[in-house]
Amino acid sequence: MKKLLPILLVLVMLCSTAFAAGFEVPAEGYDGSDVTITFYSQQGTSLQEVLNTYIAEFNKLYPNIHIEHTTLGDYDGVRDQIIADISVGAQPNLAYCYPDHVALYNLAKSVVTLDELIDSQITVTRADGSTEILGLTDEQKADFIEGYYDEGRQYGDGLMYTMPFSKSTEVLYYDKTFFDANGIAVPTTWDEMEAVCAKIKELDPNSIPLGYDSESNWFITMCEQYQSPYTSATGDHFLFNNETNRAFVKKFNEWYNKGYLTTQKLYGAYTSGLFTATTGVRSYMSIGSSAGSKYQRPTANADGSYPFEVGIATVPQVNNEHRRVISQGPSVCIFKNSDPQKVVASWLFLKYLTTSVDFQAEFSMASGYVPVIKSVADNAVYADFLAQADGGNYIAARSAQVCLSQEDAYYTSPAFVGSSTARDQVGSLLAKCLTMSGDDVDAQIEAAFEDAIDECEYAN
Amino acid sequence: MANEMNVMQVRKYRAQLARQGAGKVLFYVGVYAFLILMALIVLFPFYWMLISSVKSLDEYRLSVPTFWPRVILLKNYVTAFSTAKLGRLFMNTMIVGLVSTLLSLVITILTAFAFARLEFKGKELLFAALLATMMIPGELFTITNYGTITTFGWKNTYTVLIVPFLVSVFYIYLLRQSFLQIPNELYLAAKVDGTKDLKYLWKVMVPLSLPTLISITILKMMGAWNSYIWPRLVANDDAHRLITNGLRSAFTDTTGDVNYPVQMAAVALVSLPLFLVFVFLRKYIMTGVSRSGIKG
Repeated sequence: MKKLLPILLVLVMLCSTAFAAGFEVPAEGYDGSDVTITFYSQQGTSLQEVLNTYIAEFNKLYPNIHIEHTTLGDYDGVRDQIIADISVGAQPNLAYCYPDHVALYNLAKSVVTLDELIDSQITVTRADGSTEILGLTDEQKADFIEGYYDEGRQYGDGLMYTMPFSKSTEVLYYDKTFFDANGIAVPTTWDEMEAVCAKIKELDPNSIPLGYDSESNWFITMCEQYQSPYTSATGDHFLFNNETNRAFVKKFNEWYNKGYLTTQKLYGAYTSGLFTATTGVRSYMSIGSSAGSKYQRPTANADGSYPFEVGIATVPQVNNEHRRVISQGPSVCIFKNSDPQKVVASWLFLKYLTTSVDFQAEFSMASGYVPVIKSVADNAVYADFLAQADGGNYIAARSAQVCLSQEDAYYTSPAFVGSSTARDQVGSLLAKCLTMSGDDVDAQIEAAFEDAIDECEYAN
Repeated sequence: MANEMNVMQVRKYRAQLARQGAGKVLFYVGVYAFLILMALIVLFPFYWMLISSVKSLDEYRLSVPTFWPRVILLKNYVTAFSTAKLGRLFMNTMIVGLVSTLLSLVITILTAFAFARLEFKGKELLFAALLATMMIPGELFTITNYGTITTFGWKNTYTVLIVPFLVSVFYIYLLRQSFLQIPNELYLAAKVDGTKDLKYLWKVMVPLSLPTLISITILKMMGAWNSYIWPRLVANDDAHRLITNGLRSAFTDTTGDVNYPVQMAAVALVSLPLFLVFVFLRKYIMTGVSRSGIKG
């Protein structure tokens, strides 16, 4: 498939002239037409069961909208399939997407902008006789977690291309048993983190106190926390070679050389392996995906108890007055179609899934992701789920609690063709810089930054 | 004096023989050491697949890998079978493999016979045109074929997995060369006896070209079993997904993490039929490889 991508991309760009921009909502909204909607995702079996339940519920309201759901293994699989589909004009109606995927599809202007649909006041009648407006009400708009909702508008033109579906972020996992026993406070800032690492190193010189799984996320998050440039969707895209960024990289280089931290690339595997280890070299903190909390839990003892309790907290900040944590997880976009009723029907289904409290609650509990609307916290089943939160069997609930408590802190970075290259490059850059040593580290870091910028510009 | 000379010569001859013997032994030691090393390199991925298939995910994710599992988890095989719906994937692959091989054989035999035995206008030109298509990389057809089958509404059907690859110019060429080695006299004698072309084909040419046909059958079956890009593109529903595609995607969880030990267990299960085919039919596979010049 990888071999085909360059060919397909050329075809995608050639196709771009075949589509008209914008979407005009039909005057009647949804007219009850019998339509079949194709939806591509990467959901596993358990999530498909949840989705199928709610497709059935949706069909009670709109029996003539038939949903064909296809799961394609992973996010890149979804992207590759859609590129091939666009090249022959057979794209699905709805699909899971990441921002750089949407930027790619937009080369062919294939994605529907949602603003007209979101703002539509047209009344639609359901099968049970009840009505709803086609767009989102003010309450529905306000119910979305702002950082997640805004991800749909990060394409440089101010237009809305995606709706958030289910989300995750990065959180700090720590060995609560060890922290409590040694009277260590959980670090909330990077300055505190340095002190905690030093303290742990004193207590267990053989340890690597902190593991950070994603170097890319770390670099981008630091840019956000320092409010220093990373990339831009318009104008010059690659802005990350600046003094502030070089300075924080230098600081972490010093930490690395003191043995305070490691990352996935440097460790050679997910750092959760170090964190969950109970013998040999181990870490006492790990920063990783909130949706992967089960991987941060140590193997249970024979009696079902755990060797230590896992605590979860927000990742450290530069300044707690300006908290920033990355927003991850899939959104959903709608593709253009010659039949406007298919677009409207796709929107109705997407709106149903993203605004349904029951669906969002159930899907979140099954997936480990967090809901995208605030009102899910009031859902009785979800509240029960959160109430069980602990550092063992219900670690996913504890992770969700932390995610929900930081809803004001989510950010997304600009999306454009080449944004995924920038992301890969800064990840490699950070890993490379951490291991630098000698008298001329500053010069080495500067050269590495320039190389990374060159790589981004060359690839673009 | 003469005796002493003879003794000297015999000693010299023995020393030469001993040197030659030692050289031979050294040569064989070198050859076998090289072959054993190459065999280990070839077998290592299979060894790694098997030990990984019985590890726990925690053990698999260690940065310093273990060369023998601490705890052997055979339940990975059970999980693999149920998670990936391997039964369905096996069945889909068998259906596509068997039907496409059978139909492909019929088409290949008839076409090769036409080009080897029958006389018709433009035969050489047509054959040259067919051979010319071999110069175009198959990947270039992918998007045009995809456009065609989308227009036909064939996505997610067995048809789309079987029909586009029924005609193999290479197999036709291979069988035609085999047919051409059968003496004309047999054909002419059969004609004098009033034998129809099809009967001659079935009774004489097919039996005489059986080794080539067996090679084609095996290579075609292995091709169907291993194919990935096309099935991945055109058949993604449970009812038609093939084994390669199924293995690629079945063990990825919602966060994008892959349960590699279970995936390895599934790969081991899927490799088993090919392993058995190799054990029992390696003579024909080797013949096919040497004839076709491809790995298969």
